[in-house]
Amino acid sequence: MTGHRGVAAASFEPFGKESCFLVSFHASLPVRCERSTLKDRIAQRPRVRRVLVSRASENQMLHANQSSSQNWWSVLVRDPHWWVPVIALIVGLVVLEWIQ
Amino acid sequence: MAQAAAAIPRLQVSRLRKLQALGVMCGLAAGAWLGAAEAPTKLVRVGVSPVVISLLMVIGVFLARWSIPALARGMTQVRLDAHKAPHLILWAILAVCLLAVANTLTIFAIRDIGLSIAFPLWNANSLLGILWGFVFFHELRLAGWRRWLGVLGGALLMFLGAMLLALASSRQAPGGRALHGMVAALAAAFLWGTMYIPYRKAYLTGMNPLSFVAFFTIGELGMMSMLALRSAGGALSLWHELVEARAVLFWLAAGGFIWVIGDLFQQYAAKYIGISRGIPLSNTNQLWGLLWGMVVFGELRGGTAPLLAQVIGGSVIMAAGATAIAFSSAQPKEHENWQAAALRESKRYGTDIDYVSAGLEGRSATQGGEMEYAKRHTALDWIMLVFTALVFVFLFAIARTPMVSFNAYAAVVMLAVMVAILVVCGTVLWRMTRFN
Repeated sequence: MTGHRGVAAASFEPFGKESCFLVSFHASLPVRCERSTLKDRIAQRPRVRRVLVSRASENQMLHANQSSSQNWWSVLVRDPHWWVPVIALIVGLVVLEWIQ
Repeated sequence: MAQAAAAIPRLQVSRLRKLQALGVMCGLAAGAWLGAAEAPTKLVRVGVSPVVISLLMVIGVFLARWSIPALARGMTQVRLDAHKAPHLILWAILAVCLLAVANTLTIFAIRDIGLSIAFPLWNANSLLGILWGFVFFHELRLAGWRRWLGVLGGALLMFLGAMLLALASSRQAPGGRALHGMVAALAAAFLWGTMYIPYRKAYLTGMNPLSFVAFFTIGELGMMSMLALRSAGGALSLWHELVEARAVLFWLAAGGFIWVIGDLFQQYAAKYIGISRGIPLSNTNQLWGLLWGMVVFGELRGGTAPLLAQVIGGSVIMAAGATAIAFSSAQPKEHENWQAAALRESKRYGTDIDYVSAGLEGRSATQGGEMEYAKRHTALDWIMLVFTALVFVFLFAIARTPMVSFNAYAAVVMLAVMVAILVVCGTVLWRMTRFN
């Protein structure tokens, strides 16, 4: 999209007034739309009550995307479910080695 | 939970019922196709080592795991899914490592204690699936005692039925290494049951099953090659074994391809009805395996009355267990607990809540957005499909005629039944979820 790249801080009603989330409108909106149209379109999305749109630079957009998708590695190792399959795999390999 | 219900819109009761019915249908279709996957392998009677057979089947699995998603949705969508929830790639690798080790363990279990004891033991994976589903993913919470009874009772009935069928279908029980075999079968059950943790985690996060199975290939071939290398005692001896087995490669690869279709239905079942119900239903593969064996390969022909009674009794008990589970689908209250688990996953990994919510509802994450654009098939998709077709044509060309006598007419009828199940279930999946 070449027109309005950016992020919008939108308040989702179920989370309350205080909660704001970065909403990517990068690819889900028409390429050419005025800023007001942009705001309206986001507001029409389900569960969006209030939209605070600010034009963001491409860097900010990139940052917003990265923050949501690239922290997973550190989170993964803290996932309390992680150890169960890992232990199962170790047990399986040990048993396999033993029976061979 | 109330917070989850607020964050993820509560699913309409009618939609929930439809998705639950779809999940049950997928679980049963999984059983049919996973059972049918045994048929091509029955055609192979050569001195190929069990681990090499597994490795050769993985070749068919590898081709299927890429070509089926490419045909159904296009690889662009797989890439988008990977971008939405990249952490699931690692979970997929972990799941498939568990799968590869479990599959290999089952081969040793059959060798050491025979199918009759091994099969019921590793079918205990459904009981473990119920446990993990309850503990980690809020399945069966607020489900009421009737549903608990249906699921747990159904799983136990299936366990009993599996035991009877396995006893009936066993040729002989090899002895000598009973402890090794028992441990191998139980370890396989542990690994298979635990393998569903990544499955459920993926589907609560909104992942598409077609994308998730494509991620599997990353670890599958690597893990299986490693095990085969270890078993064969080096690359050179493994290569010799593979070259010697080239004449049966087609049948084993075909078995792997069919297995992936069953696995895909199993994935959809795990997505829409959870692992506590999905695993037991897909375990009905034992019924189908037996049916193929009896109808197509003439197994149990001339069997005694007690033997046939065992088969009929085991089948009825197993079917009764599957029916009990099928009628114990999740109600709105339980589904809200699933949503709570989904919200937890979303928060933990920072996955877009719309993506998670859409996945639970069985729809595409955006309408008219990036996902829709990506629905177009690219040249890469067609190249992969043509490549897969060429590989199978080549394998067929060098394949040897099956050395086992079988009833060709019955095989055609069974194949027609399989295709009918695929078409019906695939069409319903497409209409209701667009393969989401």
